[in-house]
Amino acid sequence: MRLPDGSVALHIGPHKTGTTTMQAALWANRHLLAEQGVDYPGVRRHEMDATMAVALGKVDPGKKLAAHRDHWYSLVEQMQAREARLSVFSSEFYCEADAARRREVLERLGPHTYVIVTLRPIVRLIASQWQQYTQNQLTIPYLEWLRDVVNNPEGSSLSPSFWRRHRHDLLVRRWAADVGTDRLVVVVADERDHRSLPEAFEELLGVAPGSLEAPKERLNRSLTFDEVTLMLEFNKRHRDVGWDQADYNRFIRFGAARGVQARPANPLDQPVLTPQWAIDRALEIGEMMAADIAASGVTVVGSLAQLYDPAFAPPAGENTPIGTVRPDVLAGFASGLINRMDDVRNTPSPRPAAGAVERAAWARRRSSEPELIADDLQRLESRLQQLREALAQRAAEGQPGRSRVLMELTRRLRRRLGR
Amino acid sequence: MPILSVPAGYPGVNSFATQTWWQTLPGHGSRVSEEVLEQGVACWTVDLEGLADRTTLVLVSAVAEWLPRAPVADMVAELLTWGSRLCDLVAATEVDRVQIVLGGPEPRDETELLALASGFRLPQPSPTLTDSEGPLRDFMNATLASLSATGQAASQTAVNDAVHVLRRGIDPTPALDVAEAEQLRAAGREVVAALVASGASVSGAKDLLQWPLPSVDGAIPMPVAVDAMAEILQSELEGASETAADVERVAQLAADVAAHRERLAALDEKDPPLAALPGRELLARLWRIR
Repeated sequence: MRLPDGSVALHIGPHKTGTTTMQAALWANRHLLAEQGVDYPGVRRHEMDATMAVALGKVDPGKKLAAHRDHWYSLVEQMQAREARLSVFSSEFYCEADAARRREVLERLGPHTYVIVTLRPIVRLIASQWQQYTQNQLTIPYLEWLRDVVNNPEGSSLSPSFWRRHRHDLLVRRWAADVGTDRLVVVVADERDHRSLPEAFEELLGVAPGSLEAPKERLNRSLTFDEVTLMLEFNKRHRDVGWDQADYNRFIRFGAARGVQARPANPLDQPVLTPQWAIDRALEIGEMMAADIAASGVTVVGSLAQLYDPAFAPPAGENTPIGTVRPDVLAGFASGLINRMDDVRNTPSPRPAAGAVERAAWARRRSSEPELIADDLQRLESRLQQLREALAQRAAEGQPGRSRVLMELTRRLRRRLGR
Repeated sequence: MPILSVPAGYPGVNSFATQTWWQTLPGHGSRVSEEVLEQGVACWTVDLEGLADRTTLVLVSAVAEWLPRAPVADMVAELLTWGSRLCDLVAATEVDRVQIVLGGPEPRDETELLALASGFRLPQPSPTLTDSEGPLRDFMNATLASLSATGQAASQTAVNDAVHVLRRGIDPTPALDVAEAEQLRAAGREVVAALVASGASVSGAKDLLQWPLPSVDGAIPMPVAVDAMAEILQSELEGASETAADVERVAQLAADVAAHRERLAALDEKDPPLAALPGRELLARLWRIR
């Protein structure tokens, strides 16, 4: 299937279905795509903050909601101004939008929007999603978490977002109700062929084969059981000490965890193993969801039967608990954390919503460079003065009268006449 | 007057505070004096310029350095008694603040004494590792190799802090089995919690009273690993003794700028400036004002 010219492709994930790979491919090949009339608006691989702001109405602690929301609107304006043959927006965070926010997104993107949902068997992504949660403060061990999640497909109490993301049938029906079944495309990637997802996108976007070759670097790999155990134990400490959530996001989620992922997984490490009872239950849920999606009337690229085929289930088992961590794994954690601390020294002032550790890290590193501090002081004092004057002027002006409105109209008229 | 009191050393506490040490302070004859507290503990007092208030400083040493070896139940009892004695000292001390510093280098001069008494840490030297400390060396080398900004003093300090925790936490010649070591670790946590609850300001390495655990097959015990990573964050918070007033001023100015910018944005949203209004709206206003 090829989307009609003039369409906007809105790829809404959900999480762990190849979104990172697709975003990396779209970003790395954006110039090649532009030559073929396809626009991928944005200034980074994944506009996560902007999408969260508009789709969820929130951003991570330490970040500014209004600024990121404005950025998303500006991306839409850029997209509309460029008038490309096709435009693509991709983020797994769209999948969690409530009805009002879905409406807002679809209205802004325009009437020619097609929603693309990428799907993988639930049985294959469940362990991966748990280890992703452990990179965001989860402290619940896998088996306990699994029992809650797979036995409550109507809603998990431990991770409420899990089924909001992964009741794939309900996700498809929600968006199909908003956009129309003829405007929703489900892509089921072939688990045996890593090219199947980019190929499906190449066909949808009407670009040459190979235009969405993903970069070679391994992005966002899953953590091994050894690595995830370290995350889990650290999360418990973080919770007990009561450090800021903003600091967790900055230094652990996007620092330490990234540092661990940056090193290749040790082949001797155990992967996170899912026990047979949970695999069986996940396959049942997958079959139920596949039937519902088939009945929904949306377009399906690929085979829905893969979503519950036992042949694609991971090897069953249970991990042996571990009480130690290898020095290289710990080094990945530590270097990721310290590198993130070093990053903050490059900003001319601490972020207003920074956590206590971030402020201390900034001060400590910045204070070792006195000439930078002198520049910072001068720049900030001057900026503060400008803002004070602007506020005072606004207060003095009050409501603009007839003469000021006339002056503004005259100014515009003169500009238009070139005088 | 800002007076610093330093109880005389006993096992685990203020081992630096000796007659010889005080004699190194300039003008010690007129500034330093010795008195005896209510519980009979000798205490040095010194007027210390730069100190915010009347403070008592207690510098604690790592538990494995001073706790006498005995059957584990006796060691647990001894550690808890030691903790109670310290809490009693805090309760009986009539000063504005008691600063308990868990570990780190001993102060070498007045400046370092002031930093410790103010709740800041002293930078720890890079540890020299021996052949038997393979896991630590592997950790340190792998961490340093993965740092993006090499040569940053603050990064080196963070690595050093973590390695010091690992060295304290790994027992190269374990005399206790893991279960016994865990009992002592639980007692150590209890003492630190009691010190925090006593009302004293507690700074420094929170693992200091944790009994070390044996390494298994070259791997690092998980609780020790977590202690080390937590220490990187904690030492960042307490290690800013070198922070100049100018840095604080920058942080304050940045916050002020952000607040002013938000007020202006709110005004603009509520009542956009004329220059931002479309022409049609301007004409409509002109009509309304008539």
